[in-house]
Amino acid sequence: MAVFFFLILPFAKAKEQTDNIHYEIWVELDHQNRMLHGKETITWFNYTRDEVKDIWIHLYWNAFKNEKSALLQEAKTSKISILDLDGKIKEGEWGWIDLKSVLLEDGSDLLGAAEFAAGDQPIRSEDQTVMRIPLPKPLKPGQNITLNIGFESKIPRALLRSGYYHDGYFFGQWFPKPGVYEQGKGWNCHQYHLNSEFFSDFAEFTVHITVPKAFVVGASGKEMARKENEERGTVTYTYWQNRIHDFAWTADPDYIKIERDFIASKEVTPEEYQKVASVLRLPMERIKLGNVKMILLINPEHKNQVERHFKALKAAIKYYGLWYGPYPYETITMVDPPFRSESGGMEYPTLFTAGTHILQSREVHNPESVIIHEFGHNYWYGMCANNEFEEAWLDEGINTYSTGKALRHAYGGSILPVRINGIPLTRYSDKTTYFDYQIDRLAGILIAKTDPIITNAWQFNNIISYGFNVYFRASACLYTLENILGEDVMLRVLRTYQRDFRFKHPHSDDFIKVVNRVSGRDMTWFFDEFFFKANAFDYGIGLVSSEKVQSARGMFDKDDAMVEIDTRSAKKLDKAAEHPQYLSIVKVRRLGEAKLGGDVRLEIKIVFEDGSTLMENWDGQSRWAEFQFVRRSKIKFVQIDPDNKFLMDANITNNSYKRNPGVAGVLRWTSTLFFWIQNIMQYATAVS
Amino acid sequence: MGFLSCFQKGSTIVSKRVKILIYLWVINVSFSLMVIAPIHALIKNDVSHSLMGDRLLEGLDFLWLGDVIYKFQNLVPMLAVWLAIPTLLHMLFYTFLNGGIIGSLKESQRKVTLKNFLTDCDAYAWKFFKLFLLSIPVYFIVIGLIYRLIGQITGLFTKNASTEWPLLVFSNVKTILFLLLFSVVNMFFDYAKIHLLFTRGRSVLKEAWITLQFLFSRFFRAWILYLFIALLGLLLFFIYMEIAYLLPKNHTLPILIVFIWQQMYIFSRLWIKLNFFASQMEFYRQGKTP
Repeated sequence: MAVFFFLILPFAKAKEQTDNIHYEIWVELDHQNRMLHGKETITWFNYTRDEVKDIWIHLYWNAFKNEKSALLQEAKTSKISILDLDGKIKEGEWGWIDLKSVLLEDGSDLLGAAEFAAGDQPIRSEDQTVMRIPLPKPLKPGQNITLNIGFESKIPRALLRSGYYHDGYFFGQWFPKPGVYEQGKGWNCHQYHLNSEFFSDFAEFTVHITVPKAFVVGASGKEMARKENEERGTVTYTYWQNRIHDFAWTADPDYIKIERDFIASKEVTPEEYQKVASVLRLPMERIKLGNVKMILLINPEHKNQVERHFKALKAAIKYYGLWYGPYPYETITMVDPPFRSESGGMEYPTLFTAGTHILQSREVHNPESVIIHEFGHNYWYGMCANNEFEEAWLDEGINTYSTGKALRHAYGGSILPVRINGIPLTRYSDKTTYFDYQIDRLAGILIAKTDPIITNAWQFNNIISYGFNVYFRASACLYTLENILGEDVMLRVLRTYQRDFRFKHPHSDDFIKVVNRVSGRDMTWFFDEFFFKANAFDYGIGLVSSEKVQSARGMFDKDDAMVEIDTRSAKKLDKAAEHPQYLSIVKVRRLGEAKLGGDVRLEIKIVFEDGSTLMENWDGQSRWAEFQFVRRSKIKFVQIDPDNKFLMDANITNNSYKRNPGVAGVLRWTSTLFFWIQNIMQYATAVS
Repeated sequence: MGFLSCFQKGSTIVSKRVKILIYLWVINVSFSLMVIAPIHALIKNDVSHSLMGDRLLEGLDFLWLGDVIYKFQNLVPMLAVWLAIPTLLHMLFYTFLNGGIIGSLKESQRKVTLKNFLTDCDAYAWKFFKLFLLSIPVYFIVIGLIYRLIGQITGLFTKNASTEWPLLVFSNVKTILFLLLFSVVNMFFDYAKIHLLFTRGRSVLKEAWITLQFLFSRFFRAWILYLFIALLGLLLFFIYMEIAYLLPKNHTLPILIVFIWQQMYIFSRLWIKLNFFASQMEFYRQGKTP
């Protein structure tokens, strides 16, 4: 058997300031016993000005160790049946990670003094997903420390992005991983929560993965070497990547591995470069994309969807690259996760999982949207690496917004999928196309009053509030921001934010500062109103009327005398008038608690029956405002926010008012509903 | 006698009984209007003065859908009850109507009048209601328990499936088995009604037992007839869907055309329902003839 061993890049690569951890991990998959045996060398660099007394390490898999873990406790109280995770775990299927030793370079073992730390509120004191390891002496600024950790892990039956099902494995959050040390604040190392993702420091990874020979492996980074051990029937793969903050891998004998190249010169036209360069006001050289090796691991039953996967990935590399900066890594691995591995639609640096069905309608953009979204996380989470525990919107919200934009550019609108028993019947669905922003807005308005978008992930009211707020509401708010600032400005905002915080850990404040700086407007109110508060936003028309102006009755001064105009003479005057005038009154209301701010005004469009149009605006601060006009024509309709800038408006229907009602649109839908009710009635008679 | 011949004779009888179709259509429309009227009023009140109403004519507007879900989310349980009660009443009303339907089909030489129809309804209402009560535990046992058992059996194949294929196959197998089981029970009670009407027997239980014996000796022929008519119904549904898919809907006149097409389909459903009774009655007649 041929033995592959090639070492393209030296492991002792020049140390990047961005990588303040170096990992070298040796891990072996014990397929028979569902175990991982690992050794890990961590070198942690203290780039802060603090003296560091301890190291905090995530041991995420202990979330699956017993029902006392924070994650399983939260699942138990979530009252959502699909999250009945502890009920899903059968005997013998618990997973855990057990540290065998934590050795310093001098051979002393720190494990004895280590303790589990559970500081998140509410306290789950028996949680074992974070370990604090006191150091024998404080680590001074500029110093580094190397820990040699031995660990063993029991692989859980697949749940929450990790584990096995049959021969398929997915390994996320599988190795002991230090938290993020924040200067002046200490370790940011949260426990593994149900409603949360992750946060860790940029690192250089060298990972040696040993698996039985039959397994096909995919992992973060670039495959550097492959060594077969014929005697043991195993293969050891070596993967390397720097400037990433997590490392995931997968193994399954059934995977089909296909590699293709993203050739930038083929995918992007000079005109497209030119257009983006002009919007971003950047020289062409800064826009040019590089080539990327695309690796697809796909299940045999989805083999007919290979082209769909690559097409979507190419679109993602292209649009994210053009808009937010070129993808800086050499490889991207796209995994169609093993069946029931519970790991679909998840992001890791340079590797992500998608997920599809055997029978998938071509008209429905799935798995395309998942592929674009998960790839996009390389930008929002991967490179701009915010704290997902504390400000999840910074990656999920921005990325949901970006996904919608990329999907629209690459594929246009989507059609709602209709499936019965796994068989696509989209042909018979209403063919109306929709765009992601409409779905984002729907979820966003439904959840607006539950929690502010900026809330600790595990402290949202429930998983729905977490998901709807950080993904959809945040995205809908960003679309609203785009509508206010303009598409080009918004693109420059995101490009600048990505550039300034690439390979850093930005916070919401950083994003707000970039918005203000790039747009040249103070948009702080926008974030205060929509991201830090849980208020509904709803402006609407309160009243529209147009009445003929009638001559006033009463006593009037005329030539030093008083003249009475009675009803009769008033009517006479009205009749004599050549062009009657109409007094039109428009009342607009602020029905929600959230309100406009800064220099932003609510536009009010008044269209008269003679075709003339009038534009007014309102600062929207008070609860209502009234506008009066005397014109020769009655009002036809009034519309506030005619361009639908404020996508977060919870009731767009009340944004316009026609004086003369129309029912044709209503009839179209109620007649359809009527027809289906007739059918339900008739179905019921089958048993009479 | 072949099933096609039964169907042919049955549909000839039905073609002479169009009045019954109209009665049933009026009843269906009345009950459905009961459900739709407040919903229509709610939507009309919400959008008729809004420009959104004009956008709805072009197609489903997801921004409007968002508004509707946001505004009426708390009304969903109430609307579900609002739909369920008239549906249940409509279902119970059919236990009364079935006498009129089958009676009119049986007396094929008699003129269909509302009076005759209602007289037949009245004559068999109580017996058919008792039969309906009897059908509840039977449906529960056959469909509820046996279907559950089938679910457990198919579950054995899907529980440890290593790909999506077994899930896809067995969930569809399960659905087909459910429909087949339903068809057997449904067919049995159709014949029980026909038998009751012919024999005018007093004990529903006894007549049901005799019906069972009748069907036992000619089960597959009866079932093929039933399945044939059911498949014809399915075919009509797909024809309806295909044409509805092609029809434009974005103006008042096309909406009217779609509505007429929808009502034609409802008529075809009622026609299928009558054909079930008429063809099975023909099959019963043939079976009873020495």
